[in-house]
Amino acid sequence: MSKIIGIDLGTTYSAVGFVQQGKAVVLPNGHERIVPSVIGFSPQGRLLVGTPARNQYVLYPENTVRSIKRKMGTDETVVLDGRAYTPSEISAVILREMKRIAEINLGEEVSRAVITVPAYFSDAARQATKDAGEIAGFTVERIINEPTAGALAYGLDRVTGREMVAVYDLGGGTFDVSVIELDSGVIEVRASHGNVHLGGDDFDDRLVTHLADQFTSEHAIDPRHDRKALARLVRAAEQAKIELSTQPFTRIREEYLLEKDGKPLHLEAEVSRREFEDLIRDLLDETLEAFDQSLSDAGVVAADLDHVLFVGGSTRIPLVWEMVAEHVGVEPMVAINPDEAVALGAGIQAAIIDGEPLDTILVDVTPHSLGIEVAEIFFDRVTRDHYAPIIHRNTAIPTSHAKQFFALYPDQESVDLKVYQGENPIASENTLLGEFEFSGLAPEHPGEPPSVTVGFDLDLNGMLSVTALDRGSGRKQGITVKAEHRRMNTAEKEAAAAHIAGISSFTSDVPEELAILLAQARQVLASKRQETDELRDQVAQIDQSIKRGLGADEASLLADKLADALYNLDEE
Amino acid sequence: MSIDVGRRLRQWLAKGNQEQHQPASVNKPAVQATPATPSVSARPDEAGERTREPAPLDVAGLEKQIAKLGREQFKLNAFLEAQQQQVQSALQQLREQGERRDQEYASSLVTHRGELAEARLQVVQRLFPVLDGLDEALAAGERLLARLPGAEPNVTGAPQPANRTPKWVITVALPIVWLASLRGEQIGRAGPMAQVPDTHVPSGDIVEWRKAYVSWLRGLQIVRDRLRAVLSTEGVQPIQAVQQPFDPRLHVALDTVAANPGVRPGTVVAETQRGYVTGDRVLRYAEVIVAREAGASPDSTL
Repeated sequence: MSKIIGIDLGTTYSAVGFVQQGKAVVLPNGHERIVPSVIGFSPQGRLLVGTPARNQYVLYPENTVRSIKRKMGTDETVVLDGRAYTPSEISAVILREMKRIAEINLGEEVSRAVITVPAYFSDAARQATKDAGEIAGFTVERIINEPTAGALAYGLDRVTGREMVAVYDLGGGTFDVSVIELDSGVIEVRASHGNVHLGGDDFDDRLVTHLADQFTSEHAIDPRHDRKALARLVRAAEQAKIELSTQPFTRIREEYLLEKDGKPLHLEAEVSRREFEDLIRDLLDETLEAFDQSLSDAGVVAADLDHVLFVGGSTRIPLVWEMVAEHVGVEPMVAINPDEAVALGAGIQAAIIDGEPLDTILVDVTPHSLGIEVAEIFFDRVTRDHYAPIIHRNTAIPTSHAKQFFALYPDQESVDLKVYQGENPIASENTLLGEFEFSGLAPEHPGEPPSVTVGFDLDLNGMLSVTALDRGSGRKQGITVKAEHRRMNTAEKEAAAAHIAGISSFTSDVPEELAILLAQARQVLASKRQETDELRDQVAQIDQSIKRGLGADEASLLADKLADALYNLDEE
Repeated sequence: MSIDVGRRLRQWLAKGNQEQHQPASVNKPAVQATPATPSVSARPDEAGERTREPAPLDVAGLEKQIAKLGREQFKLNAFLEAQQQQVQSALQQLREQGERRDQEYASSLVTHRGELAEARLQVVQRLFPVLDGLDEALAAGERLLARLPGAEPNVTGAPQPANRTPKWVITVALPIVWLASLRGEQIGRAGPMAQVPDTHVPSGDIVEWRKAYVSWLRGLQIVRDRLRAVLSTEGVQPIQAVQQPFDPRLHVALDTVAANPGVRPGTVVAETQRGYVTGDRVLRYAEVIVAREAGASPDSTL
């Protein structure tokens, strides 16, 4: 029977998930892990799917279809190359491409799939998705909700008992929040809310506006009016946003962006994480409103939530984590690649239907938070020994994060950096991994304490690389320490155990001598020679005695008798 | 091969009991070295002869002892056999493990090479913005040059690089310029349509200054060539987009313009960002502006 794959059929991107050797993975399309949900026809009449289709959209919008997901379940048709297509037919083209990708990766025909849909999809939309799958040549084993897929990806279906979970899905263009209830493996969606026009792209736009305004005020010319300059600005803004997720500052530079009076103009700006956060805070507040709405529809309050799951690439923004954590009082789970969570979850559902014994997904995580000791100033009083985490526990590794700190006094020349592992707000109560003195500091601005950016870089082997950077003097220093890491859920551990040469050993509750002879006796009986009835009885009796429990003396006696019997048989 | 002492002795004993009157030679025991069985032997003082009289042999006792010996021996043999089997099976498993390790090592070597190649490509990709910057610098430099008095086409004295927009494209680009000037902005243009600037050029020996500047630009071109050579060595090639028919596998359409007469719709007329390939793999799509049917309405939603 064909293997079953999981498909995240997204509005802008789609991906294939599959469980391979106990681990859920995304099956890539060459070097692409996610495929744009776009199809089109070239002027030559050739069918294009994915990135090539998206590439031609601006040129042939009448022959290219994007975001067909928004039309699923409606009667609207799309005209392409002179023919009308239903939304299901368009989606089927995308699904067929996913099928092709799966088949190339797995080296065999794939005709069964699990496909995801948003929790708010109507029955008509779900049916349309199922139809699309069938047109694409799949037996659609199941249609599952995206938040459910997220929960599966995080392994939450394995918990026993009842749990209330919120799934916060912030992608490139859309936002969805759902409250789901898990009860011993059964997952039910209680409520769902969202905004189909709020996502990472909007954050980019805010940054573009910020940069363009800055440029305009400096040079009296607006880069947004030049097509190429605007494209460069958008690219730079997206890049900056991504960098600010792991760095407290980023420098944006676009040389020769525009010309004025024959003079070349360059964009040179620096954006801090704080500034960026101020630009997008109101948008994130909107997501929290939707969150609250969802809770109220589900009839629960934040305190009822056992977990909050993050799905979608934009959840990588640290402010999102902080705001949700503060608002809900629960640390959101960020243990897996948020872009791929839904596809992975679909793959896991596929594996479950296929009956594969699953020990949820293998993820390397930091079991503990990692941070440094800092001092806090509160109304002119300095208290030391506070713990400032830089990498939160249960973050998937490898991971990298940096935070900005300040020395206490303006003329301070050095700081003592102590690296800790743990959760206790009192730094010294945690495990000290290492420390070093960072000296030669210089303030950036006179009269201000020097600023030190501390970066933590944790690799797959649990090696933590700590770097301190002083912006005033430009000095950099660091150490490497070993942090604890573990594998969650151990299908691989069992595989490793199978690898180890197991030298057969006799069970310890039967004395070895007797065990060996018994083994021989059984061999003899198995060869079914004549006149082995006596031996058979004897072996049976010995087995009984073993069950009852054997003393050492009794065992010795039985061994002797058995040896005799075998020996006599051997003679004949 | 087990040394079955017990059996031999019993046989001998049995025969000895049966055939008390047989000549001695027939009854020599097959196994000689049995010093551990003192109760059974041809007594040395009666060398070779069997006594006719039944000696005060505790046969039952002897039998018991022989049986015991035999049993012990049997157990020992069984134990030895079992141990041998263990060792064999352990050897087998170790051998298999060794083979598995060899296979894993071989495949990890292949993966490693793949990873190395991929890492190199990543470094090369980081050079793209550098090359972009150089291209921009040179293009801006040439525009600046064109604004200086004494401008001649192709003054830099070097074969123009492939990204210089050819003359026929200038006529296509004109509508953009025209539209732009309607909106009151300026767009730099490459090519021979120079204007005399009104500011910023130092007076006095402009010609010398211009020559120095041309030379300086030429040097920068050489720098760019160096960087392109690095890419080329790593197997990375630029995508020649301009004047080619739009190909969605290589190009991304950023915008469209109405095609001028003589320009076929669907042709790339300008490039806003250069694309790169290595073999069949696109590392960065070329961002382009494409000519569409004159008269067809542009799509304003980008």
